Amino acid sequence: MVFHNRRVEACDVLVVGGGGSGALAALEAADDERLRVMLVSKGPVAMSGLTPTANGGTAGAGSEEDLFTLMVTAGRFLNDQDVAWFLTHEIKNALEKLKTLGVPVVPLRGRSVAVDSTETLRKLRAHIVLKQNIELREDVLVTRLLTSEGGVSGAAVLDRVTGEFSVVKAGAVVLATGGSTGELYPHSSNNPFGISTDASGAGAIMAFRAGAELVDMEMIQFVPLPAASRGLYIRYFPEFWNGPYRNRFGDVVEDDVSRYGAASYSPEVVQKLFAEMEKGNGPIFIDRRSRVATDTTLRIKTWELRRRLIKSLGIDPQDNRIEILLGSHFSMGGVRVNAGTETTLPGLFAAGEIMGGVHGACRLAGYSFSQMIVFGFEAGKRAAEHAGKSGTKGTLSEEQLEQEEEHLRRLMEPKSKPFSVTALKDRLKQVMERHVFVVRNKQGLTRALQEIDAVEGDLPRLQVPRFSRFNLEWARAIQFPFVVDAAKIIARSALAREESRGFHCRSDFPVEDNARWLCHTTARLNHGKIVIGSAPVVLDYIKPESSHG
Amino acid sequence: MADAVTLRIFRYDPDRDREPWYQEYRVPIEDDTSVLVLLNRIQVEMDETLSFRSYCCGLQMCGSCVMKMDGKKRYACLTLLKPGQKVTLEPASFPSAHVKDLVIIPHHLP
Repeated sequence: MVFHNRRVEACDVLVVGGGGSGALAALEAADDERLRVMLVSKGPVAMSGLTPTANGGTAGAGSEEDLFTLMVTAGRFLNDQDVAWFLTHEIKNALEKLKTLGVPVVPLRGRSVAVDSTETLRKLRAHIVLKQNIELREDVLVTRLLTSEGGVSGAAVLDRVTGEFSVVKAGAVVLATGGSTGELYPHSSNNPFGISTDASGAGAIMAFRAGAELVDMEMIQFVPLPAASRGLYIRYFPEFWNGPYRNRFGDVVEDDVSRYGAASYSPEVVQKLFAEMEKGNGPIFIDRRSRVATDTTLRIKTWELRRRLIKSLGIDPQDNRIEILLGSHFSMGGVRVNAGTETTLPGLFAAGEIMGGVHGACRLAGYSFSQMIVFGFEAGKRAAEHAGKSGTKGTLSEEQLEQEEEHLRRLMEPKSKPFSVTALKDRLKQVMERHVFVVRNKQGLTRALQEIDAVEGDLPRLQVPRFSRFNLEWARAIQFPFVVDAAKIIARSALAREESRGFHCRSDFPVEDNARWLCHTTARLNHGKIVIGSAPVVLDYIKPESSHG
Repeated sequence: MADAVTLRIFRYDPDRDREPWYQEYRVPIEDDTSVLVLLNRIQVEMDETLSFRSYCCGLQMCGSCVMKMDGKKRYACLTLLKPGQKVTLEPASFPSAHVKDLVIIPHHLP
């Protein structure tokens, strides 16, 4: 039915992900006119992924060294410092390069700048379309990475419009598929208005299944989310949300979050609010009606638009008391990389939120946009070099393809007791919120793993309607097993890390333990089994206060 | 008490349908609700075969959810329906750039 027309295509550099990192990587790789680049995105560029939901701006107060120190201190020294150093020292160059692409970069206070995220993507897309050696494939879902001879050799892809399955051979692959927190928790800033942006983290798990190593998957940034009465939470401006946060009795829980390193994005804040809710004193509200109005004149078009939107929806804390929900925001964990974006799997590169070990145990505002630009360019450059040298495209085993086709087709077959994706996803989200959330402990994590296993056991009963053209359920069902794997790895890593550090808070191990745990947790696939281990953190420049090592 | 909105939605899968048709869905709501939120609810709870671009940038900015509502192009994300209201939803473009139901290829718009 669906797969009668299997095609095999080839390129030198395959970039997966149509957000900022992917677009920049594709453009950078295509600078070498001899290379054929393909950019695959599961939605239209500038209308999919997390980049268009972002405020868009870089951190830039102080010197490069200051930025670096701030980042590593907030990250509780779990950042690989070679990567963090590269990030903070390359922002300036990357922004200059972005300007040459015609992207408006607006200076803010200090050396930080604002970059309109949707406008940026539209500009980049226009360049991509004009570029002779880039083929842009939108509404195309990568379902699996293909490997041969110990390296990455391409990907299996599904065209969501036609339902056609095909194979892309590549000399090098850049994964720029984003983070994994959007589909894991009931509330997430990744899903404006509660509508999924499909931030499934599938890319990281595909890399993992192909043999790449993941790090620090337990490190997830949780944040307070403004929820209107209708349960619509949207992104906001952290600086307008400093507090006071009050419980349902009106008592102040947190007066002013600006005293914490990452302000309202700090682990201290979310952990405090969580504890208050656990005591039964929720819901929590933010209320700034009595405060002197913050100067809200915003020079950036979309920022001003967002501010007005927040006002018109009645969720400006200067006008109303706003209820807060706690939800996920960012994955600090991800695919293990070095400063050159190389993963542990030859030929595979990673850029953007999918990278692990960059922000350590806490990400600061503005640093992910910087990460997107700096490593987007870097991954494109490195992948191009690799593809230029490697030349060979490897071979794809017929068996790998048959398996994949069979797997996709099976989702449409009738089952005796079928489950919808939503039913299983809701179950998984409940488990994650109950046991793998702001505060964790051994008992809860063990319970979570049992329940995640039960969800995994029900995966063969996933059933989607039988048609191939833009089938939403099918695309979700294809991605959901990756989400289950991510949940499992996160819970396993959280169980392994017997200490509290940044956003990883263990009630049974409440202290940061540099003697034992100043290291990454790692996850690797070994003969079909998830193996959790540890690896040293790169501490080239500064060391934590207590270790003087 | 909960009241309902009625959405009359353009349906057409060129692989299977000879011509476009319309399907009506009644969705109970208590408060003003965004069309994009309603479409998600319909697709998840009432009809898994409905196709639309469910993506939301949260800013009425990206244009992914633009569709015709009673003949006029609007953003589904921030168009709120009141209990009791009825609206006809059609793709922003048809037949050119059309994929299925409310889905179009936005960058192929004439």
